[in-house]
Amino acid sequence: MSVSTTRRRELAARVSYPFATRTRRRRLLTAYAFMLPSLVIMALFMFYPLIRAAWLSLTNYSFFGTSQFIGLGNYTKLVHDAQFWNDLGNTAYYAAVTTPVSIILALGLALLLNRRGLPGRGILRAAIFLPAVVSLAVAAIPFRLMFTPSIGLVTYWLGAIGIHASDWLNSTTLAMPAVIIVGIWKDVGFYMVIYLAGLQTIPREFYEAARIDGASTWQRFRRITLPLLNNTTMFVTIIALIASFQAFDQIYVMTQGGPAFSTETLVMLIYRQGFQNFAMGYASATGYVLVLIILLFSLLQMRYFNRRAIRY
Amino acid sequence: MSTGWALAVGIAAALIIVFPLVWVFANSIKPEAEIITGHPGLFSQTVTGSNYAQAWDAINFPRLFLNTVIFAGGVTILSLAFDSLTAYALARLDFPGKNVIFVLVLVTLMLPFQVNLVPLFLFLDKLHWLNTYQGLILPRATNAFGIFFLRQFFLSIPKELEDAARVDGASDFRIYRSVILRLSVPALLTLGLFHFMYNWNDLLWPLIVSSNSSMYTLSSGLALFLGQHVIQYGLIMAGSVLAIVPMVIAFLIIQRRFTESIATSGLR
Amino acid sequence: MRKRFAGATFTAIAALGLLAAGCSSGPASSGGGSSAASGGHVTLTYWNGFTGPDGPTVTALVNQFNKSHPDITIKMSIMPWDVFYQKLLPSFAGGNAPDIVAMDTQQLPQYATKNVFLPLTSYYANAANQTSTLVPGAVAGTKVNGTEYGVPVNFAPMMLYWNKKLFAAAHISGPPQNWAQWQSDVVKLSHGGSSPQYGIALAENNTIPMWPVLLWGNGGGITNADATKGMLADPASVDTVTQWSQLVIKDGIAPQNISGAEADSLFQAQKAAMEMNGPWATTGYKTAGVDFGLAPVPAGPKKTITLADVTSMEVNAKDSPAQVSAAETFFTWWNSKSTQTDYAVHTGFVPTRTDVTAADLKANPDVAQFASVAGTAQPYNLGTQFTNIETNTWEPAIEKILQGAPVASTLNGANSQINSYLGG
Repeated sequence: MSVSTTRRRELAARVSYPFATRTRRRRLLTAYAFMLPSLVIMALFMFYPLIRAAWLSLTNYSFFGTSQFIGLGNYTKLVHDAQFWNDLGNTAYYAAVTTPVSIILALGLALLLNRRGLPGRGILRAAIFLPAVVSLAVAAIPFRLMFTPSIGLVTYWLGAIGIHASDWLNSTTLAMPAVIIVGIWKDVGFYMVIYLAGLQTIPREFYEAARIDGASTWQRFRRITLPLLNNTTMFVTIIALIASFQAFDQIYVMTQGGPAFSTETLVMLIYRQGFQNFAMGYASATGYVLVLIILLFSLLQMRYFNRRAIRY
Repeated sequence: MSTGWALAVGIAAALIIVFPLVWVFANSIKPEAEIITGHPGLFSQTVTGSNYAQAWDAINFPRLFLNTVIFAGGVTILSLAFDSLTAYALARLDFPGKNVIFVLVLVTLMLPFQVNLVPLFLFLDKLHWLNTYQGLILPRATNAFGIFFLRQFFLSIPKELEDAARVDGASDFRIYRSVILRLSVPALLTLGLFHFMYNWNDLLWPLIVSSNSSMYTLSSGLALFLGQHVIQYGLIMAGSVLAIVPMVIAFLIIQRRFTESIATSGLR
Repeated sequence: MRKRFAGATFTAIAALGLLAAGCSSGPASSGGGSSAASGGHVTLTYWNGFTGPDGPTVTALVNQFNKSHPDITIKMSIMPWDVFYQKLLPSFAGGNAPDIVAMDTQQLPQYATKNVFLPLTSYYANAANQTSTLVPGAVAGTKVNGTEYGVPVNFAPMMLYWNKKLFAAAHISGPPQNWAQWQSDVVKLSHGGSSPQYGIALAENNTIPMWPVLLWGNGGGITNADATKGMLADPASVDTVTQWSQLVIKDGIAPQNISGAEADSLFQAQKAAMEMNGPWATTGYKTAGVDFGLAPVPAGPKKTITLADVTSMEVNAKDSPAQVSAAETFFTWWNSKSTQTDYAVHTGFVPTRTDVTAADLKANPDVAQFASVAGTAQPYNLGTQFTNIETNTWEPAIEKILQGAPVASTLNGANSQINSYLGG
């Protein structure tokens, strides 16, 4: 053969060029045909509010009267707003604790409940998943009662065995751990079920082969389970982080952001600015800062996980 | 870890996690007066169903139940269809702009609802879709969570089956329907459950879209027991239990099918 | 090629979004609410937050009105208060706001100054509306800058609930009449230990105002009467906060930072011997078996004064004359003697009228007791900066003080912040 393989490929490509374009265009159309319903709905009900909110963030819109374009005025005001930094810190604190703890617990429980031959698996799974089935805004009410001094069940029982549990929800140091506990409680079962779905896709033959080769439990976990769960883990960590940055329901019910703003998160600040102070433009700007932060973290996570992705 | 230990840890975890809900149930059968007392106990001597009777009447349970089923069910069915179509495109089809669209889809998850709320409310008002079922369901008929979830799942499916079908001349849609969907039953069931559950519990959205209390869903109806000055704890506890029970039943049913479908999925 | 398509894709989606944006950013439609006057029949939409046990009573009364007034239909929507405010604001912006709105008078100034409600001066001037029989304290709550913007829906003075059993156990014969007795009583009624008891359930966040009543009693306050200047740095205010915060911190007369709901729970669980509260709590406490008495809030060194919690209803400024007239008919009916008596007996609120006697209220004797202090009850008015002053300044300040921060400097700082909000 006098013509090299590369050269042959080039010639082939050139000859089939019109066919390739048609195929590419057809692929594009097919893809959009698949995505059309979702994209239309998203365009109308999600992108539009997104864009409108972006526009509002550049104005001083306050529901009444005329609003003026003020460029980045809201954003510069935000940078100098001590409340913003306080709430950003709280949000970071909440996310930094809730996300890893929920995920690790969820994975642990999923591994536990995925074992063959574990009796009562279904019931245990249902029990752990149960908090996810409850509406958080309503579930937070019993939690608030439980943590309340003197009438709370938790404090009463702890008191009965001699532990004086101080007022969790009224202490500037303990209020945040209390809402974090409720946040983890709510979502652990949810992530666990997602991990279970992912674990089910790992063929048992891999484990058997590894066992035959003499791999220990830890090695099987690290070398088989974790890598093959990569897609699931990417999903769970991104979702968990987004959810934790947007924590609102239980904090609103349990502490209203107090005491002294020690549990107020950015989403609560947005709510306050928008609906109590009427400063919707400013609130939209705060919302966008949050979006940018979340986006940044999500992109970082995606890059991290994509590098480790196993594709067939 | 031996099975015995695993079981012990599992039971302990389940008990701790379930405890607050057991407490809610215990309170729901207590007379209202005994819920807030100086000597709280888990269960009380007197068991009463009056909270349930009152809650049932107060929020017109059958009507709200129906609304919730329509809302959650409608959203779930539409969402599964649309999300899986989109996820398939993002996972398997190769086209320009794929990553951009994926990121855009994710971004919709990141904007807090409080910021979305005002433009969305105004838009629905303009469409005269407030207080209608389409206004309640359609904006939720697809979402980034579902798309993301299914995309990840589809990515894990080995390509051999698809390639085989493609060689046989099947169109993309055919592949989607026959190969991918069949293999994704556990994921679809899981996602369906999630969608159903999330919308079943959604308190704020139905309250925003409807002003007419006959269109409220169960969770929204429960919120009406939270008075400005007086919180009717007994009613909230009973109402919450009534709202959870259908979901628990749904979960237990799905769970069984879930395990069955794994056994028959024949991935390899 | 790839980049171009990517750009095209993004543009297409964005265009769809912008198109939607363009379609919906038209001018707000004129004419408030979704009501129409067709052939003399007027339909009015009415939004409020009367959730909880009051809801059914209000619903029944509105149904009664609809039946007795065939040419007016009131379509009421009840929703939790926070959802209410979240929908109200964009609905004003979108031009489809309800015709009648009920809200706490504390929130009223913020809305009234945006001209969304119709000033009701002519309504009040019209003798046929019998507005002179309304309780002055209730009407005062509806005034913003001297003009009435609403009519009272309910009126609730605050009294001192005291637990007879706990008082007897501490050998105190009756409720305190003044601060000297009050302060000595709370100390006697408090003890710590594994099962603490508190002399009083004093709440400072998410509650009807309790601390402000203490401030008023000593001649101080958070702001002056017309909310133009902060008063927290006044010696009277500083003195009040010092006295009472020391009692909390040193003598444990109340838990350090509690919300209104927790205060109610404490009193109901009989862990607190006293609580300042409104009439809505009587039913719950009775059902819980608390043997309580009602007394006027003890007289302060400078004033005998208590709080009036007032909710009022307003009419949309964009409503047509026919709608306004129908709304005013409803207002007058709501505040009529029979309706108010009915409402008071069922909910425990004090009638908004001065001519309802104790005999009329004998079905609910607690109401008569609350009505007896109506004369000393004052609404809590912080003007248009209500949220900024109450939630963002006062509450954090008192929370910090109760956790040990120095009183004078914290109050000074809060006062400066208040003045900056008030534009002083």
